[in-house]
Amino acid sequence: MQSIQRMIRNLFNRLLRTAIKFPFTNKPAPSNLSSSVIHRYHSLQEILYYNNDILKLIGELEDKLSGDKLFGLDFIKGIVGKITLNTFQLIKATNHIGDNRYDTLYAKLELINRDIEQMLDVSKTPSTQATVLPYRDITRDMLDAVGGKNATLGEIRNKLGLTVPDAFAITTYAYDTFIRENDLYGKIRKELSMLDLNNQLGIESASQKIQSMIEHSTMPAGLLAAVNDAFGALEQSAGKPVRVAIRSSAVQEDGFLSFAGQYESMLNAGKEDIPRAYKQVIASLYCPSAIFYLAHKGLAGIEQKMGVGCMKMVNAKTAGIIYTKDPNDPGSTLLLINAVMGLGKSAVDGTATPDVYAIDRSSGQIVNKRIAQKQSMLSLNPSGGILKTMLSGKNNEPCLDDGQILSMAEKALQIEKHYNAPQDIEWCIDDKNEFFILQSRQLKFSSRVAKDRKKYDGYQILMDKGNIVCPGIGSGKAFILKDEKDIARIPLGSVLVAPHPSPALVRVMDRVTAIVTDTGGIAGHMATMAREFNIPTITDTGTATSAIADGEVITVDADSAYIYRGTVQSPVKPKNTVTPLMKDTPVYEILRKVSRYITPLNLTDPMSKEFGPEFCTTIHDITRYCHETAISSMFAVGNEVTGNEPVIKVGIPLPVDLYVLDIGNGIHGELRNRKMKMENIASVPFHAFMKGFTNSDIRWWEPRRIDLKGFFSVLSSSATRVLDHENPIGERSYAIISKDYMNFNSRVGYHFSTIDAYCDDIKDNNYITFFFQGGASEDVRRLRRANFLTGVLNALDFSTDTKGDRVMAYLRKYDKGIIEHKLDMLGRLTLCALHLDMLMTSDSSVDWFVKAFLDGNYNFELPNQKKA
Amino acid sequence: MEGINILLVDDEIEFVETLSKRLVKRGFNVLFVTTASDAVEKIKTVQFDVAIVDVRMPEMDGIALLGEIKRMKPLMEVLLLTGYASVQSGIEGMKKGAFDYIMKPADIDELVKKIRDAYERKKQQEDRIGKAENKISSNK
Repeated sequence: MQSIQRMIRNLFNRLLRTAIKFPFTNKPAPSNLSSSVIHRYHSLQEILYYNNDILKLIGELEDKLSGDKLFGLDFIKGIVGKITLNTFQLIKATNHIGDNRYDTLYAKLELINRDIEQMLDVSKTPSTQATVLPYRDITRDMLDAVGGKNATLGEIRNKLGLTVPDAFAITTYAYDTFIRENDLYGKIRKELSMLDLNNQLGIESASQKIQSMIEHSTMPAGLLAAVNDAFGALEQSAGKPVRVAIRSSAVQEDGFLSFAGQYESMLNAGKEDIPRAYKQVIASLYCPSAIFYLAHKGLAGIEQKMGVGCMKMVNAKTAGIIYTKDPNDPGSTLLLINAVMGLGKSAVDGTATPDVYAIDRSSGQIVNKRIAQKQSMLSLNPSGGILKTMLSGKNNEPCLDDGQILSMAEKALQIEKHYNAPQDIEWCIDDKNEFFILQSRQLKFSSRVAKDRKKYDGYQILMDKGNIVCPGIGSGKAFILKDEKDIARIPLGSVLVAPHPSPALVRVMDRVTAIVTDTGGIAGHMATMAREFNIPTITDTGTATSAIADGEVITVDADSAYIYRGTVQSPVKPKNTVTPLMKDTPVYEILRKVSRYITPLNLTDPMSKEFGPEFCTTIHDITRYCHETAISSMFAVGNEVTGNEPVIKVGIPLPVDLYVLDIGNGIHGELRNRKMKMENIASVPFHAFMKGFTNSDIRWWEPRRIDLKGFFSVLSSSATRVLDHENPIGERSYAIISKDYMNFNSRVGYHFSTIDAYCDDIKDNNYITFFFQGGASEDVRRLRRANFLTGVLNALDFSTDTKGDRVMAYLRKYDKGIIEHKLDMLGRLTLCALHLDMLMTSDSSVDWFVKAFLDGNYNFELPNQKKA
Repeated sequence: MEGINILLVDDEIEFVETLSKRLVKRGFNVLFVTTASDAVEKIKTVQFDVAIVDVRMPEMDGIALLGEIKRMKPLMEVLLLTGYASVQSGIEGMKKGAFDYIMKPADIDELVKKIRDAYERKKQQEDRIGKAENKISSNK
């Protein structure tokens, strides 16, 4: 029997090699073909680069749209400018790849940009040309004008009615005036542009030079006069001479850059000390750690500004810090008050051991007091500066009584509620027992996974890791989405569990209570939409689609990145009760309006008729369209190769006649006229694919049990097809490769397949597109093979679109290692699928073949045929 | 990356001086000028691969200079230095053939990457033209 099979197989192979010839393989190649391919490949790289950058910037905008972080107009302008210019470059690269077929996108971008620029028109935005502003005139939307600390304290004073020491702000406009009139802008830029982040000494030297230039400059006369007037007003209101604390209030301080403690302050200064103290404080904007931090965050391009607060000095009897939650244990329900005797500086810088009072947030009860032994205290020196007094004897009296503790806790929670985030509040109480807020900022927790990771007792945790894309809690029956075609079947109220994020999921976002995916980051199209729809979403759980059973009831806690079995009874408030910190401020309104032209994604379905340039209404739409277009354009690039280019033959035993065109570092070393071996392949995706394609478990050269009907079907179908002059299929197979890219065109027998893949260290760049069509056998057998491929590809997490014998499949945004594994599997699949149409005898056998492949039975042997 | 010749044009003398030093440190050949008219004069006599041009300059601005450069040396690539106040000019410039943009003050690593990309583009264009010329002469 074996010998008959071998005979048939040999006959079949000979038939394929010799009898069937296709006319188009001899098509003459344009002489500059390989440079055209290289040109397109470079455009693809540009598109991936800009697409990635734009999505990151959109993510930053959305982060600010949550409203719980401070930002100013300069931030919006900087980021929107970059998005616009990057989008222009993206369109340009897309037109390079697509032979200028998409030039209408330029006009779309221009329309969008015109609207955005109107909204960013500075004349309509809050700004001031005052050099000095009293706190009574300051609210949180004036961040750009007065800096973060001043804006926060102004808000607390004017909106919450809490007591803040009498004060005035020296504005960022004053800073501008100071720097401009002393001709320092160019000099500072010169020092900063020389920075080398790897050279710590260089950073310190630049810092020293800039600080020295500022400290040796003169305070402009107009500014000094305005400051003196404001100081006079403080004294007038106090009815006596006052001294002040000169405090930094940088535009980024206390906000997203968390610069706490980096900038200078000077306590207990007199009127005559102000110019020196002011210069010292603004010079600290250029302290080494601040320069280093900004440069590392990629914010070196955004001009720094410093506001300064001049605050009436309070002769503190006791002072300290309130943490509205325990910073070391975000899950606890405690509010902590630290208190020292005298000025709070020693509590802030940690040089004195404070009393610690713990208050239960919900009951308002004091649950613990730890009273410190006081050894020293700081107080105001009447002639300026600070005095440290050593205390003798037993000093273990508490700094605060119960009434003070409870009243302070209540006020602190009032601030937390107003800012909708746990706070870190500096405070003091003066000798008349009056309580003052000196500073408040968002509390930083050490937890990186979630701000406040909390477990619900009594429920089984199914998964405990992942990226929180959109916080909140949702529960329902899990719907495991194996194939995007099944989207329409997702029932109302389900929790959607998918292998990877996909913009196609937007179609069910009004139907699901939560979304969980195996892979994915916090940026990207789906993440954007999940936030827009406010759907609790966790990505990158690793194994949700296998760890969660289809149909079981689960609860997704996207506040803490836990997934529970069953319905958790959660006390968490619905999200719509939240009032973000920046909301209702003019700056936030500008961001919100501008974002409408940037972040929404309307182009979600590439198969839809409405997926075209004319339907792009936002920058996100343009980005999505360009990305999709680039991938599709590259897909066809293999068709252009004819072999007249400098191709290299692959010298590995394979059932295909394979040649490689290297368009950029795809091959190790110089091959000259030698054939290519596995060890010569430097292309990451091609190496992975070839690993599978040369898998020694697949004995493609050996005879398989073959269905004679299938064989004769091939013969008759071949004859018909040749007579019909159907689109012929060539003999040589080509792979276009680079270090990160491959386009593999396989033309074996009557089938045609293409695998286009990109694989580098940036997850969002990575993709695989797979196409398969044809076969030599009759229709029904070709359909069986298409179904087999679809079954395997779905099991490998690909999204598939199968029409007749044509199978399209794609995978996007996976880690490099996963893409390599999938390509290895595609290599095996491509090899196994050869002639498979002849082996599958019935529709019902397709499932058996799928399972056999997935089980590693690549030769499709029945149990009694398997070799030992 | 030795051998890439760069022309740096910005009216802020301290900025061009220091940026020039940093680029030289990275192995580029750099010549800087502070006006567009000086740039035009230099281009007449020196072969540059890439020009880095500030969009906002007095007298002739960066966009006009870009036009001049493309007229005189079509293969020379131009990178525009823009601020967020000159986004529209940046777009205008890229439409008129600038290779890319850098937001000021320039991030040196990003700038170096873009210079290399621009140089690669110029080389490709030159190769393409070279091949075409060879073909024409061999057909004669």
